[in-house]
Amino acid sequence: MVKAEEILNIFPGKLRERFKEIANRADELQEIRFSVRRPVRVVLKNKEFFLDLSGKPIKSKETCWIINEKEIDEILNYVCKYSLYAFEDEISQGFITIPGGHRIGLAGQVVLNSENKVRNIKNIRFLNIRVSHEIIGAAGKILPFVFDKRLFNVLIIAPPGCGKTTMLRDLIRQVSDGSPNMPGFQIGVVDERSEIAGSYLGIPQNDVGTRTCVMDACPKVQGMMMLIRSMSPEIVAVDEIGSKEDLEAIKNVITCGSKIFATIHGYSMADVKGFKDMFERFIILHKKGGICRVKEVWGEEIIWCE
Amino acid sequence: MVRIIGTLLLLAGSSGMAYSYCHEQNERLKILKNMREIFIRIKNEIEYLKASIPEICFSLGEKNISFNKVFTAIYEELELNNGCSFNEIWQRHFTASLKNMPLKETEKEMIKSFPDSLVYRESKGQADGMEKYINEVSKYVGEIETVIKNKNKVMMCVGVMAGMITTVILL
Repeated sequence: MVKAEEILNIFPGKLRERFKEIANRADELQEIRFSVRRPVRVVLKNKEFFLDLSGKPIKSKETCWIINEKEIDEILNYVCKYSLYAFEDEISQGFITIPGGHRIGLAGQVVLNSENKVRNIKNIRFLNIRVSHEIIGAAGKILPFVFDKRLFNVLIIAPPGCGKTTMLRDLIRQVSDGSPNMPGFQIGVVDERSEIAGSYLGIPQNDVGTRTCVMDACPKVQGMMMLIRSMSPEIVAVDEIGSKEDLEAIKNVITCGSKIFATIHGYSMADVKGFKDMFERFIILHKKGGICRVKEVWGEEIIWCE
Repeated sequence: MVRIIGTLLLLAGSSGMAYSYCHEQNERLKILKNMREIFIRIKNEIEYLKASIPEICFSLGEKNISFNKVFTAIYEELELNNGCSFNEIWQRHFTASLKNMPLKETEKEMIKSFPDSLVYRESKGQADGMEKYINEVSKYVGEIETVIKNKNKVMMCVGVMAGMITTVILL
């Protein structure tokens, strides 16, 4: 459950009043989008609305609230606790994670360093607040395929917005906590984009289980090996793999005797041909009727389908 | 007898006034030196630890330094997350705290305007920005230090002399 307070706490003084109504519908809230000199938009239950000056979601653009530069700066300063310098790494990556595991995407004028890499973003004029919805029990259905007398290496496959991270997060939680039919396992999470645990100042804001440690904001490849060396996890979990380097790091993890839980963008088994040797279970998700569901579970062959 | 007592009281009063002025100047110097130390600590926390403002306030509140209670109060209010800006919170707490302190208005304003300096997006830049405050306080400290000894001597002499002259006139 997303708390109304978590949403209100994003906003400074006078702007807070305008979000009271939206905050009361926090469970339906998916996104709040700010674009300078454009209407403020919110996405509630997959439907987009504009906000009027009293904070009411409306369909018409005519009486909506047009946000200005000063208001965006106020929000950004408040979120960063008036310490923009302390968030320079997060800003250069284009997002900030806030208490509750919610993420604020940033866009503006990029400042490059001498190596042509992003050093910072100035004149931030676009914010996208993505509300994190932890779905406890989401992985219940796939658990029998992940642990059957022994653990399997698991790859969750889905197109964007179909709940890969949500599924992985709950899988981590359940496997970490254990159950009467399954012991709890030590899990190390490499949370490169702070999406799995939603850590704020190093503290996971989402429930990732009793036996889970999180390497937050750490590049996947380095993070996997750091965890293996330092925390000796039985399982390493990572989100959104895909590069050659990721493959090499996963091979190393498996060679070291740990299992791996990972997610990847894709639609079917055909999209993950290169990963077939490394993983033992493939969970394919899709969206049906606006709801994210498990479509198929594969081992060497199809094990289960909807 | 009464005249002698009156004379002594007059001398003690005028010397006391002079002493009070000197003490105030010493106190002003002490406050500014403490403030300079605080700004240096803030700069170091920003530069080496990339600490955020609430973290810095918490850390300063824990230390045995002047204004530590003010920093604890600021930290607690920031943690309430009630929508108040850091500027408002800092201004409110420091206005109350500096109210009865023997600082000049310009010096008080300089301390109260600290949140205006938090505009940099990189810790190095922000730490450099803090230098401005450290230099400004150092300037005030330097000015006071160069004149305070002589000024205090003069004030004490003037105080005693004023008492003596008043005594002679009254006698």
